[in-house]
Amino acid sequence: MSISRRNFLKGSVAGIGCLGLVPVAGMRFAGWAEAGKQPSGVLNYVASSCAICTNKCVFRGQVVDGVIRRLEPEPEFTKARGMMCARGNAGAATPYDPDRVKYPLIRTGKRGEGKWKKATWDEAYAYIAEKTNKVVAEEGGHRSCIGFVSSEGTYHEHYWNQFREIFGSPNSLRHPTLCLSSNIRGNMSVFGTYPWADVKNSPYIILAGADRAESFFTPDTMDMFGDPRKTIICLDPRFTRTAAKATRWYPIKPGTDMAFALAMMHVIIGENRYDKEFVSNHCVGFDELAQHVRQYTPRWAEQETEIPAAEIEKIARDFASTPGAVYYPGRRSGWQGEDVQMRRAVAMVNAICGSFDRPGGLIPNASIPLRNYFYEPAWYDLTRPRLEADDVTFLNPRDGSWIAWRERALRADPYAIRGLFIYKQNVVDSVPDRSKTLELFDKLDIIVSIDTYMSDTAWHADVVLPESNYLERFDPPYSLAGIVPYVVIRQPLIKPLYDTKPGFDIIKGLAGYFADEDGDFLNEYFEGDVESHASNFMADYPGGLEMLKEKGFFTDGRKAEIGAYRSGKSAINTPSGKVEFYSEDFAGRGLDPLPTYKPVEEIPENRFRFLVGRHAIHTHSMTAAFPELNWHMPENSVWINTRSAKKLGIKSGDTVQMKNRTGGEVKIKARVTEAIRPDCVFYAHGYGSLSKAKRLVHGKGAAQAAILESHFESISGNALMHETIVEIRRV
Amino acid sequence: MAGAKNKHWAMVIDSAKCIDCKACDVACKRENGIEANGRREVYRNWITSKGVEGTYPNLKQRFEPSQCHHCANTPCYKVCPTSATYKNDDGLIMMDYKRCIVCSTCIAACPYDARYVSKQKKAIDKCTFCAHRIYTGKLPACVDTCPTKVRVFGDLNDPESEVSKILASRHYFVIKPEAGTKPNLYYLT
Amino acid sequence: MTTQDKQQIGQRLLELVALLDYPTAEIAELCGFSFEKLENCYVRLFINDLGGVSAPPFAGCYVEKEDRLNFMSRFSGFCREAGIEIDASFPPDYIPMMVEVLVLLLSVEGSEADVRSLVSSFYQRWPRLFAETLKEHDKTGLYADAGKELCRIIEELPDILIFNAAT
Ligand code: SF4
Ligand code: SF4
Ligand code: SF4
Repeated sequence: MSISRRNFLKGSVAGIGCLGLVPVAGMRFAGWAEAGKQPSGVLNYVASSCAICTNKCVFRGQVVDGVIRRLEPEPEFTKARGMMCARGNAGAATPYDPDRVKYPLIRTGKRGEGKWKKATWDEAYAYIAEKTNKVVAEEGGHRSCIGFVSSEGTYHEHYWNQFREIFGSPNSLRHPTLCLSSNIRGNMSVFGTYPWADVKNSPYIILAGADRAESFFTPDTMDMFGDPRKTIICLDPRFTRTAAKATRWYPIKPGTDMAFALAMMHVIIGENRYDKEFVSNHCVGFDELAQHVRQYTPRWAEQETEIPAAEIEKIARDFASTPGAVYYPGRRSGWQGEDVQMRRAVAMVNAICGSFDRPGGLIPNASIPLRNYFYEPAWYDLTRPRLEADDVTFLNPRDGSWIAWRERALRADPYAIRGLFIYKQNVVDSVPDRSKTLELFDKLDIIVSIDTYMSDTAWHADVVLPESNYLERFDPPYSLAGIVPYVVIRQPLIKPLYDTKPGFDIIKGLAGYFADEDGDFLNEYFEGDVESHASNFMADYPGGLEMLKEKGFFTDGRKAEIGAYRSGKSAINTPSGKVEFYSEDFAGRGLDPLPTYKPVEEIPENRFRFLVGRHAIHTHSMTAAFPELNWHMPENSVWINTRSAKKLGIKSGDTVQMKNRTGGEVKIKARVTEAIRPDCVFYAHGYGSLSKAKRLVHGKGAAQAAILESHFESISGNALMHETIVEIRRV
Repeated sequence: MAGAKNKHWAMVIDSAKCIDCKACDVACKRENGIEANGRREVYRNWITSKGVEGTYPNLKQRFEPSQCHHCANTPCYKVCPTSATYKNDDGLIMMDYKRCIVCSTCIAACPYDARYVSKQKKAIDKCTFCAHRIYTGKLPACVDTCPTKVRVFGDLNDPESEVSKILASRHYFVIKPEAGTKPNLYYLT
Repeated sequence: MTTQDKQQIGQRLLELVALLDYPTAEIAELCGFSFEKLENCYVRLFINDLGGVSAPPFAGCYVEKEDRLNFMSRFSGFCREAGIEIDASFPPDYIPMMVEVLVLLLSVEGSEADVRSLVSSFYQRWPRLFAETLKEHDKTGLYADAGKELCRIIEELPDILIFNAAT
């Protein structure tokens, strides 16, 4: 042994006495390759689809030597008009994020304290099953006491739903009631469908509450702003980037969109400018509507909306006289009062002008049907109805109504909820009034979170199960509805890192720890694998799966057939088979059969309405901590109008305290700006994370869920995100 | 990667379509392997905006995307003492990072503020028009990723190219014509 | 330097790999820690922690000269050309894995020059920063010491190899 080497190893750090004794199991991570030397630097492309928001844009992922480099937009995927947004681009680095969830973790400290131990999958499943079976037994054996939460976007969600059903719980909760349930319901009642706007062919668009420049929706965002010749009328209490690009911007008073729509109809019908042919051939209840809107004059609407009567009249006339004009069904307008009724009024403006089933108008979606995913049902005698079954007129049993459900769960009314199994949705950050969600968590005996990130929800769970990142997964074909529909797929760019698994494997694995009433284990209900399901889904389209694998998308050339409803080829799916103004169905349920305006609550002096909204570089609470996006906005701040700020002695950069009426309270920096109504305030979503594992957003700014009060609307069950009134003071 | 002599690369920018979404910024960083590490000065392209102008409710806001103009009359190239800044045969202004001594003379000379000090490269860095992509027939990253297709890229020597056709049919301007740089970024009015 | 010398350095590096990987009850006992405490600390340092993991065990998180994705694909490319297969269930810059690659190359007869060039292209800067980070955040001291020793060996290795090659 040479002297120098002896000294070299002897010089080791004094602290580790064990060196020289540590057992070495040989090489665990590296070895000589069987294939020998290989060339390097070859650029490979893998086609797949994005998972950072709901648009699912198709890309060609660059992979060099097994490492993802960039996700290039697929130019032939016309739904996205061949683009990849900032978030989609930043997604390339997500598998390598040092803070992703890597292994099953079991909590060893108090909830939310952050003490974990790494577990094997079997340990984690067994732990969940033991706790769950115990509380189910305590509840007398009915499994309805376990709530199942999930979110769209992963193409594995149907497996989750299957698991819930065969497990025997009716309590399913999804995101729509935090978003578009009221919009869907309003349009359904008028058109029997939730149509999409043919933005591409529309020269004139009224855009209320849809900040499409910042809240990307393919292809609408691209079509709206990619053609600067379009007239865009933007109604929004806040000067968004959409407002900046619009032809005209009106800072409408929040909650008065219905007054605007009713006054438009007053003008259009009163001046005989409506589409008589369409109305008489395809609609019912027009006379009642015409009578009804007589009271809603532009002058009256001016008082409500604070948009000048003359402007309302001009917009109404331009709208009625421009072929292809459309009143875009934005999601964020309203979210106040009887939201469904406001949505109906907007739908009716389109209907009276014939802006349905014609180029530029609202078009019922087409979709490419896939073969069904079949599984055996399981029956449980003890299953109870879902908690909030009686609280909402039109309750979608898969979606539930988040706020109504949580209220019931907090009161254990009519029965107690003992556990939550959560797949992907970040409940803590996305359901209004975070303190109530955490209060509910406190009552639960078992919380399981399947996620790719340590979200605030995962942080408060008992067991975290790591799903493989979307760039590591094979996700089965997913049918994307639209005027031009597609099927998309996901394929792995790289092998799953760490001990992560795709949704199907996790769900089936967990199911294997529970049995049905006959004692058969629930994993036996899951047949085949994702690959075999994928071929089955596409079985009606020879060559379809191959195209999906090559391009990331599939189309058989199908499009929504414009005019099919007018010609009678397709039937309108309302009770009367016509477009409905006066709704017998609503009348029968004790609801206003016509949209009747109810004034919004006046905001008291020195109080503000809190607005929610989006940002182009972020998807809800998911992306604020992505380093490449975070630098554009390291911290959120509350927008407050210059005049209001002056009255309160608040300057930009000051820290202010905001309080709502139900005990919610945040501290955040002020951003004094002209770009918002003096009676409103706003801050962006995704910040002020509780989860300290989201390093870039923990403790930065404030979370929307912390200030939003919980209100919901009982027709659709939608959360009323704009019913929060706050007071502000400088600290 | 010397480029072909008969090419004249240019970009036509229609700012009216820009929604300030920052896709071009992130795509550029990924395509070119740039890690900003939170440093705000690290970018090859950017969106100029004066912010919200006017008083409520009469407001406006404009966005103007920009990057290296690949000037034909090239101030940064002229002042570089080490020839770290050089020209390809097709006129692209390139950087030889190894030769760069970070004297920053070029930063001062560039009228468009297109250059920045890259700690990563220990050199000055700037937009390359994605030369590595365009020489293999692909579009620059900021061009392909843009949702509204604000930027159009192509060869002005080819009368059939989209850039040639647009410039033949639309009004346009260049930024700081008084600097005499003969830039290759054209803005539509 | 004899093959045996190199083997022993390799063995020492592998011990460090074992220490920097998820703890076992055996290692906890050997080092005088309660297993649960060691697990907890390990998770916080390397897997998921308050404020983000404090010491990501990935070399690319500490390089400044290039983007991490670039660093990873270059390293992975090097391994392919050298005929080394690395575990695809870790990012290529996973530090214990990079250390094993070094050990593998060291085990080849006459590989001194190759090892030196490997160290100079891929093992710069991060061993020191990783050690410093561990020193700042590791409450057990075990990982801090392992990081320090790892840094020392990697930094001194090229000289040791050249010195021994010369004598
Ligand atoms: S819009 Fe952006 S985040 Fe959403 S799917 Fe497309 S690229 Fe991904
Ligand atoms: S990607 Fe296009 S729209 Fe977005 S900021 Fe860049 S130039 Fe503007
Ligand atoms: S052309 Fe390439 S290098 Fe230049 S700004 Fe665009 S993406 Fe960046």
